[in-house]
Amino acid sequence: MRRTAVIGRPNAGKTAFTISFATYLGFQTLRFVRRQAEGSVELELSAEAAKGDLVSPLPHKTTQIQSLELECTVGKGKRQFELFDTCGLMEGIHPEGEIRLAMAQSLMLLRDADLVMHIIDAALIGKDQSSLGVLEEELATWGRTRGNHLILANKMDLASANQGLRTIERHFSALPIIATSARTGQGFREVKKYVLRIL
Amino acid sequence: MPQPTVEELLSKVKRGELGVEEALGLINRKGDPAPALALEQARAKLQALVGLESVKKLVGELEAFIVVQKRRQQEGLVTEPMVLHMVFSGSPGTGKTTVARILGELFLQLGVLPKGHLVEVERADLVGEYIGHTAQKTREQIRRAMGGILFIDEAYALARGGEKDFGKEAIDTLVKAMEDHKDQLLLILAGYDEEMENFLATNPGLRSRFPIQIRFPDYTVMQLESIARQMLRSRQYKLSADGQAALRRQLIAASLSGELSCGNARLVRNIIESAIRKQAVRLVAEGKLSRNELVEIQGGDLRGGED
Repeated sequence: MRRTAVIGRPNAGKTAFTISFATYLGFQTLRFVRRQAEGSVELELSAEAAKGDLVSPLPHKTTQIQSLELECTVGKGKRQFELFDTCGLMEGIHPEGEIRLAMAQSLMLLRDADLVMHIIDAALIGKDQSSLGVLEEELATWGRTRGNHLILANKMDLASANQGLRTIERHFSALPIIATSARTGQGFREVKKYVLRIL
Repeated sequence: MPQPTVEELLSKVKRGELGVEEALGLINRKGDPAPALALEQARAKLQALVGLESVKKLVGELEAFIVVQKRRQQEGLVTEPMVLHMVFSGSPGTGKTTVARILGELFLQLGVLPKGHLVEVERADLVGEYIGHTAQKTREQIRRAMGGILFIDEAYALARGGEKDFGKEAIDTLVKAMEDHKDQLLLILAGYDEEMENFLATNPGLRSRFPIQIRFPDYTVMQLESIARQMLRSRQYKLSADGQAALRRQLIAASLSGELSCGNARLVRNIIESAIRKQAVRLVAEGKLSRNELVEIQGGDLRGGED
């Protein structure tokens, strides 16, 4: 099955996007598969419960890669793919081994994925341009060589996000960028279209 | 030393021996230092050039055009074919090569060119001495420039010598390569204003293949002074008050004698480099080697700078 990885900094909104996007595609119940050293664990939740349980305003809520099997309908056909929600990436060496391991696994997944959705918190960039850092730059550079890297300027429902979107567009004009909001569903139609084109 | 694989780098991340961005940097560049926000840097380099306002404006337009075409492509809209071959006309030393090099970086970052390097050639690099030699030499230069920019200085010289000259064969080979490698190669023809105008007029097929024509005007004396200041600053020198006056006198004299339009920024560089040598001789002779003395260029260092 084709694999799509959702990556980004902690608190960029990866998990919220994953859940909202699955709901947008028509899934009411979400079956997460979590990969752990002892084997994978399945977790079945309603979309509402998933938002409550898995999304947090504190960074690094997701410390294990979790995936969802999703499908998009195209005309009469269906396209199935696996959407991987990953652990937030950040610069430097994280003091906790568990998180370092999860970040390394996320990067490995990034390498092997058929499509990468790189989520950037546009509202944060709008408030502080310098929060667009070396990490985004390096991820985008790697993405450009692989040619399957989509940037999602997320949290567009917040006030400062428009400014942030402009900064993101200036920095990454060689890459496709879609403005999204996991809260309002903005940009989901474009994301779906893009997924169908690439996968 | 063999390059570490992605797996090896990531297990270093896991063990806490390498930061995430360092590992990514190694994956991306196999060890080169990280170029922080390279697109921004290329833009800043262009903006830092003295004068050239019309050039900067046009590059800004091109950048916007490229971005919009890419977005249109994503949306599945009809796109204009991006033909970005250019003609640069202007006197020597007006910044043609410098701008071409910056364009290479910019186009690399914008995803227009896969490598963005600049290969600078002239007639002698393209035109051969016997039948068949020219196509071979020209193709060799094209191969070197593939993925970047082929910059042909004094391109009008290719039309020198009339119908039987091998220069024509070089032009034909270049035109064919432009069509065959549309997304891989960008050609820039450069040379003096009038000669380039004649060259394009006598080769009507060429003008339409080079839709972007940029004129590089001669610098004014004031702009040349700012260029001189930039050059000195980057070399950690500065002009004393009488040094500034001497530089201006010298530039005005050069502009009146017509010497300026055949040298422009290059003439300024020669003046500066000669002044730096003269200052060194003076300091050693006078035995003054304080920090201040080491930095300051005086009027006496500049006068008669050409010899």
